[in-house]
Amino acid sequence: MKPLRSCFSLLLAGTIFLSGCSVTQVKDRFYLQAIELSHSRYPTVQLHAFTSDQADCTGSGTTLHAALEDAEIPAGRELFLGHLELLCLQDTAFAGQLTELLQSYRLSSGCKVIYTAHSLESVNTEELLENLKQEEQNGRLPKTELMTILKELSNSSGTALLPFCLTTGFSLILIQPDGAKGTLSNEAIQGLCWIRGENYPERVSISEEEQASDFFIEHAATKLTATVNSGIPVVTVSITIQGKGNAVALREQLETACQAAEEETVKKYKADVIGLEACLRQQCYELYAEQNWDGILHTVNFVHEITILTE
Amino acid sequence: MPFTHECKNIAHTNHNITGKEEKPLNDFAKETILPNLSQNIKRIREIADNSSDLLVNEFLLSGVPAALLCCEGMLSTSTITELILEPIVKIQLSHPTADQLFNHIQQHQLFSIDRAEAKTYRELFRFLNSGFAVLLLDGAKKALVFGVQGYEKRSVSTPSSENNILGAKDGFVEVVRTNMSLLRRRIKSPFLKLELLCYGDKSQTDICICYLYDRVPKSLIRQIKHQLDGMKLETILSSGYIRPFLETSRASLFDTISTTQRPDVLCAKLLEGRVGILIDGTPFALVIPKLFNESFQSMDDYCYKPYYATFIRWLKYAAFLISLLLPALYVAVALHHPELLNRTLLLILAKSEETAPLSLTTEAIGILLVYEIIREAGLRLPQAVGGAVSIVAGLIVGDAAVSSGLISTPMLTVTAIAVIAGFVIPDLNPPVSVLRLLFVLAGGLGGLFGISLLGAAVLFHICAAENHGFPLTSPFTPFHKNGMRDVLYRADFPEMQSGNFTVEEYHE
Amino acid sequence: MNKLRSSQMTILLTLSTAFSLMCAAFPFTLEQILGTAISIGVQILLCIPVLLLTKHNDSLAAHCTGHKLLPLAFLLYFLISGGRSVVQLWNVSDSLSLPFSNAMLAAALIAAVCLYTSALGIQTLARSSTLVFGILALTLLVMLAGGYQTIHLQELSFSPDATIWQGFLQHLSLADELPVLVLLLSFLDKHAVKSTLRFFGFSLLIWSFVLFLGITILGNFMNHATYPFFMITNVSQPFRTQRSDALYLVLFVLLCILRLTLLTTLSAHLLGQAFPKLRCRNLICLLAILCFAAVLGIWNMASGWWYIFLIGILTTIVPWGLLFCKPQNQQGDGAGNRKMASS
Repeated sequence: MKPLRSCFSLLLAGTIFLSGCSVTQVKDRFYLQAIELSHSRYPTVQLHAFTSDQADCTGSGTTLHAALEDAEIPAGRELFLGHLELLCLQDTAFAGQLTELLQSYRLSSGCKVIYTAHSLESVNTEELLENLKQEEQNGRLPKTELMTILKELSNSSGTALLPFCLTTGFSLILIQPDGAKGTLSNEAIQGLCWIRGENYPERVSISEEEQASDFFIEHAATKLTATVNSGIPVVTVSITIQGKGNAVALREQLETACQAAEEETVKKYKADVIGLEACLRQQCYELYAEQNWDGILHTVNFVHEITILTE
Repeated sequence: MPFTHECKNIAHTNHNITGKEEKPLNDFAKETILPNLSQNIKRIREIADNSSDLLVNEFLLSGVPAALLCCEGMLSTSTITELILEPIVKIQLSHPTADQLFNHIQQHQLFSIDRAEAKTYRELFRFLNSGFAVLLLDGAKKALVFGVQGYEKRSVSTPSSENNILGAKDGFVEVVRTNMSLLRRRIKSPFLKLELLCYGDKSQTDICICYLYDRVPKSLIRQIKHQLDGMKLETILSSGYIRPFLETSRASLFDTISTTQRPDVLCAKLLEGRVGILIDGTPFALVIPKLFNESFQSMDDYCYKPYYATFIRWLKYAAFLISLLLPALYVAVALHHPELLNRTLLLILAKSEETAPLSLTTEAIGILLVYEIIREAGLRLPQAVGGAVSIVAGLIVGDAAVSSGLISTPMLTVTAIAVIAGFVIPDLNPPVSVLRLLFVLAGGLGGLFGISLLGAAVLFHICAAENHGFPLTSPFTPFHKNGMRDVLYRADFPEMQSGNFTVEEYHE
Repeated sequence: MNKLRSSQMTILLTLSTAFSLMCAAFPFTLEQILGTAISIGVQILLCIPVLLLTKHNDSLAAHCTGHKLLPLAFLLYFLISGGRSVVQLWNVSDSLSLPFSNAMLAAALIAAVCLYTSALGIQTLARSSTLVFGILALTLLVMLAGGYQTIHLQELSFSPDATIWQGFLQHLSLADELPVLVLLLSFLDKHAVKSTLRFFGFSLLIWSFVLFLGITILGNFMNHATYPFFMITNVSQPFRTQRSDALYLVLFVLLCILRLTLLTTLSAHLLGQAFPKLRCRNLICLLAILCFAAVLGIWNMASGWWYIFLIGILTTIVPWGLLFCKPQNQQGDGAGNRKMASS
């Protein structure tokens, strides 16, 4: 047994040594903070490294993987996307390849994904990212990240929300299964923030007749409940807010915003970006199983219950 | 240098100048003492080859030729003069025989509280070389020996290792009898048994087996004695000589027998039903069996309040893991799983490694080896030169190497943290030093996968280690709920000493 | 083989089932949770004959002594099960960030470690399993802490594409632990029923917990996740700026080694009972496992309903048969069978 043990120890040691011959060193990797993807038919990638004010290098190829490989040449090092913080899509058709990117390149599920109409070659992506995070923190944009987008794309609607990078800030677009995109109004965006319930603003400006005022929010919660009324799904959006300010004006504003969000997403673009499918599947399973999804979206009604508690 | 080979009782045949064959050297061990005094003395001188420190004082005791033998430097001159020389010359019996004189001395004279008889030359020389005075009488087939030791010995002082703040400050010394008294002073129970045995063909070393006979598993004592009896050693100069004979799994990286220089620690372990072994000539006692979690215990733990002791205990566990795994994890994550690193940390690391000429794995192994060299040099150097080591180590390794870009600062920092963490558990320093290097290699080559593989092998290795049926990993596994009161946390003393715990509960 | 404590057996089997869970390649649904619960109930019923056997102070090991057919039947199953585990390891390796491009190399290294660990005996394995169980519990807690913020309870609903029956069959086909349980009960000194029920309890808890997390964290994205367990770890990050998914690789490797070691050790024991003079049994069994893995991998037979029949035969029919037969050397005292000579 001893000679056999020695043989196997040697084999193990040899395997270990041989397997580690070509380990990529720390300095031999190009750590990317952001990448831009454009031209889905002949993909082009622009790479932004950390501490870089502008794009570092570009690559293109017949596929996305080929483009990334091509970009390694001017970079001079192996690309590392594990710490990628921002993924910019200039073409919404890339949305279908996000899952593959996540699995092949070990992307973080918290990576931000945005849509941009123009190139960000000379943009400081660090600043852009900070701006995006601040907008989300202030409740001006719903929180989105790679995993949220992938989950939305996996829904029956196959649509997802993406922040839209403008020259003056951010807006929101809806990407649809056929690659088309729909823009949303500011009111709808505000409404989505409230209905999704992941990030609330700390302060809401209320436009009143004479002057604008502020409502300061201390605590807020949103809940969706679904019932079936004569074969028609009715979804109740219950928002509870605790804070200081003009509750009546806030209620009106919220009602309008929520209605706009539902109209533009569910009715106009047939998009489910508010967790509608999960809610209906859990609470109205029989209806969900019997009817097709388009039919449900067509008939669903929304009711708003907004409770505002002030001091 | 110590002898490492075992020597059986092989008879060496000597030839003198005339070519005549003389008696084999080792045969003296079985020879009984000759009744004729002059022949006796001649034989003794032959065996000792006229060694210069053998003092033979011949005189008449009540008209009977007698001789007092001693080893120069091994006895106390004042003691032998007061207790033996002065009284012995006053003995006046009328026409006594040798046996009558011996009986008179044994029953009516109290020359020493430590008295024995020697019937063979082996016993005679053992007593003689242990500092006893040997009385020979013409016509007697035995010798009387009296304990009048007065050789130079180190006084009881603070132990060189196992420092603590609130515990006792005395440690074992090289004399086994002094060590025995240190134990007896602490445990005044009559159940404390100190069994003195003699091993080593040439060294005739006294070995004391200590245990509380109402607590120790009887089978453990039997096994230990059987193992000691099976030893074939010429000399026993330190505890390391007999340790291999007492370990049941010698191939283990981790010790299954612990050592201690502190009598209070040994007493605590004896109270748990363990066996202690004191060896003459070494201030370290062996304790059987050892449990892995004991490496994280110290006497100070039992002097502090339970909350602080528990905190320190967990700190030590964390320090062990840091010492063992931190360099490997750093290398593995940096090379193979950089996504696990915090972004800022990664950027710092990448920047510092830009100019490093060596791979991260080589850097890590290099720094660890340099540390081991410095540590060993610090241990062996004379004190006068010791300061230079600190300067060389600090300047050359710490400063110049980093400034020149040979090694990176994060790597040096990680290694330093691991090394300092290792100082918290000095008992585990040997296996940790070796395993740390292996883990770095595994991490560098295989990432977290490699570390997991090696970690699994080490885990199984530790779990397989046992001594005399006591698993090293008790009471973690096999899990003993009661054992957790001194492992996961340090319970209050009423809880700790309840239930009459003995280590026999862990026996499998 | 040495005696095992009841808690050690429970933990060994629980860790083995946790490995199957990590390698599960089907979507997690609410139907799966219910199917798993029913499957575990059925497995408890399947264990009744072997528990009756222990009640009568009898055991599988007692019947294996002096026979060849019975130990060889179980041996064959364990080798197939081991091969299946290696195939699962290969398949999962593709989606893990291993430093080796070749999954076979990873399997070879694991096999080399298993050769060492299996040579140390079942008691060492049992002791190690206690510590690994602690790591598993800690890992699941970290997973919960990381995924807590991304849990959406609304995702917990029935799915039109899945059925409870499907979930039941999928779980039952992964119930490799049952024949292992049958053999391990031979080396248990007491509390056989308690230990068995505890194992099934833990199994149900772990499966339900992970399935629940998967459903509520991944939602519809589950359909795109090849291995949902690892996708959950990818998504559930304890800290915003700190990922932890690669750490689960450590747990996966530990569980894989434990499972393969368990199967190798038991196989070697059975081989020793059938052919007492055969040497290097651990090595032979490990090589056989690798061969079976190659065959199952090439012919794509690592999963399938036919495993359920094998499990049923070995777990139920064989013990029923043994209940009505007495072993050759049994004289009404089965206690001596539990304390076998160490291998």
